[in-house]
Amino acid sequence: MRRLAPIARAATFLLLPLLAVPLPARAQGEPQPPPAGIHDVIRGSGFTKIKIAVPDPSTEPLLAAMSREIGKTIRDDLAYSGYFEVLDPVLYPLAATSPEKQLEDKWASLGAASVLLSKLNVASGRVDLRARLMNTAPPAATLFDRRFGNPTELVRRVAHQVSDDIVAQMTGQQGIALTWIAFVSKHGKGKELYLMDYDGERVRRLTTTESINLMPTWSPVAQRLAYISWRSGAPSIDIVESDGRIARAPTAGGTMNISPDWSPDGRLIVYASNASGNSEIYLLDTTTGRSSRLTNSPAIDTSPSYSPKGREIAFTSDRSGSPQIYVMDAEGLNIRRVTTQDDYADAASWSPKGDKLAYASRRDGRFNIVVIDIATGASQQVTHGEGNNENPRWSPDGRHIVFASSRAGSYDLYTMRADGTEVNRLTRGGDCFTPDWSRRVP
Amino acid sequence: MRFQTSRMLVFALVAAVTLGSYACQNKAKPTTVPETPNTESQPPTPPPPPPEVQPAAEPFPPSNVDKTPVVEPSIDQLNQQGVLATVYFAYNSNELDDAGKATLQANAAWLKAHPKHTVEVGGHCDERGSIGYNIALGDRRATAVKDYLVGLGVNGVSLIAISYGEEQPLDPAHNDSAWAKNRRAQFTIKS
Repeated sequence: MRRLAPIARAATFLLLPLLAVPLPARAQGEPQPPPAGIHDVIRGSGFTKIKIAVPDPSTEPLLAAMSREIGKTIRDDLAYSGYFEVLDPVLYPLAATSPEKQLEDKWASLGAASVLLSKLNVASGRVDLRARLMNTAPPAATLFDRRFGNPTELVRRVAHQVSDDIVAQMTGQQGIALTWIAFVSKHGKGKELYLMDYDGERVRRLTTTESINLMPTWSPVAQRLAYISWRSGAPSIDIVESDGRIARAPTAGGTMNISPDWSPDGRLIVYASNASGNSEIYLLDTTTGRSSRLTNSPAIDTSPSYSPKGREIAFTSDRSGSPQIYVMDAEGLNIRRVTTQDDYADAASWSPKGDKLAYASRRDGRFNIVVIDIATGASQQVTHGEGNNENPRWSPDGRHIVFASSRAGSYDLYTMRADGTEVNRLTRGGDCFTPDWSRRVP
Repeated sequence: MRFQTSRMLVFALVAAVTLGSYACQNKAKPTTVPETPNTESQPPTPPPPPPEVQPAAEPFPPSNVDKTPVVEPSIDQLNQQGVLATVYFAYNSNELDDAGKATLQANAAWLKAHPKHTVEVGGHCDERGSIGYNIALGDRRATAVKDYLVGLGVNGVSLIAISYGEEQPLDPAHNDSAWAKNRRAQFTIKS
């Protein structure tokens, strides 16, 4: 009886006939505001980026638009990853006119250590991309030669798949080009749930509740999101499945059940509830529908975040007077304060390795993102006073952080490297809030 | 036009009659509030509920009155009239100041005179806090108001405390005056 019962239906995650999308795609070619104070961190770290050329996959006039989109998407993905220096496409025709006889030598003459040569075909509504990744340095070698297919409307996923394969081949790391970002954006009088690709493209609306919804959080093991919804009056926790079904989580009671986050195995949901009178942290076992209470304080305890190993829970409490970040064992014991330098701290998020917390810190009336090392207590402010910067969440590889910022006036979503460099604006004028970054969507 | 005018007149009359009945109740039970256990400082005798200024009813044919069934104002009308006034809070606080307590004493009188209504107490915050913490802060404000009203003898079952965090500002501006308006507990008669 207390199991999750489907109540409503939202748009499906994949292949969805997208509902009206008010968000313009990400700003193209917009100059990124440089984060003040931190420059050349990556270059200074001793890591040498791999020089790669990625020419568009077709010269066929009928396929020109799709070919350009695939080429640009792969180049953008690789540059974004931080592992690659992508050669300027303006140079690519020089390879064709190079006097070198061998193909790899022609590309090497441009300075490319590797090149992706691909061929695009489209038939029966499907994209077929054959992609060959080559090393140009002697002895020249083909690193992979693969075919990638998908319906034409998912052409960007084809490109992202190629990018991730290149990242895996060259670095041994899993890429993030096939990840998504869930968030909320104003729609009418409410705020609805949306998804977009990690690069801000393919924005699609998930809910049509005509009410406020906030703080979507991806399950670590499935394509499902838990979030706060006011659709039936009091703020409650809903779960939307990949097929669009929405269910109400059987929380502890009261009139406020908010801020869900999942245990690493996706079985438990930690959340805040006023079931006992004031806001406390609870743990819901989704298999039994039973909740247990973890905190017991007259103060506000809220915004819990499960550590990636499942042993600890970070949360916000104002037991000291102002909201600050605390960590406790997953059973609710051994509570210790983490933040000490902030007027106000909230929205803690564990790094995927579990060694750091990103959170929103307010000093002098403005929120900025701070990353703190749990073991040492060393903290680094990674945004610097451009508007308010809030609700940080990590990319699954721990190299990037997505956050909401009012630096351009209204709130929009941005990503940055975890050290604050390479800020990338994802949305524009959409009143977007509370992002969360998915695992890889295969 | 004529229809609207006569409807307004009927409302005015009904409202006048209803207000008269509140006054009688207040007279009949002057000690209700002080008798109620209350941890707050002893509130003064509750002032009468904030009556809406009613235009004097103009004379109209008595036959009209006889045929009209006595209808109470609809829920929407009660909410539009603001029979239950909003309470405001200091920054990051859920404490009721003297003005807030006086407002709630008036609201309590109305609520006790209209026990059939279910009323939502919406807790709201200004935008300066974080989205997440503000939901809990709004809950604390709504709960503080509900607890105070229950202390004044209002049936708690008819009061639903709901937090809206910073999601529904009354004034969308980004300044002290707007923030002061947005830190509030707002009453909505639901049924």
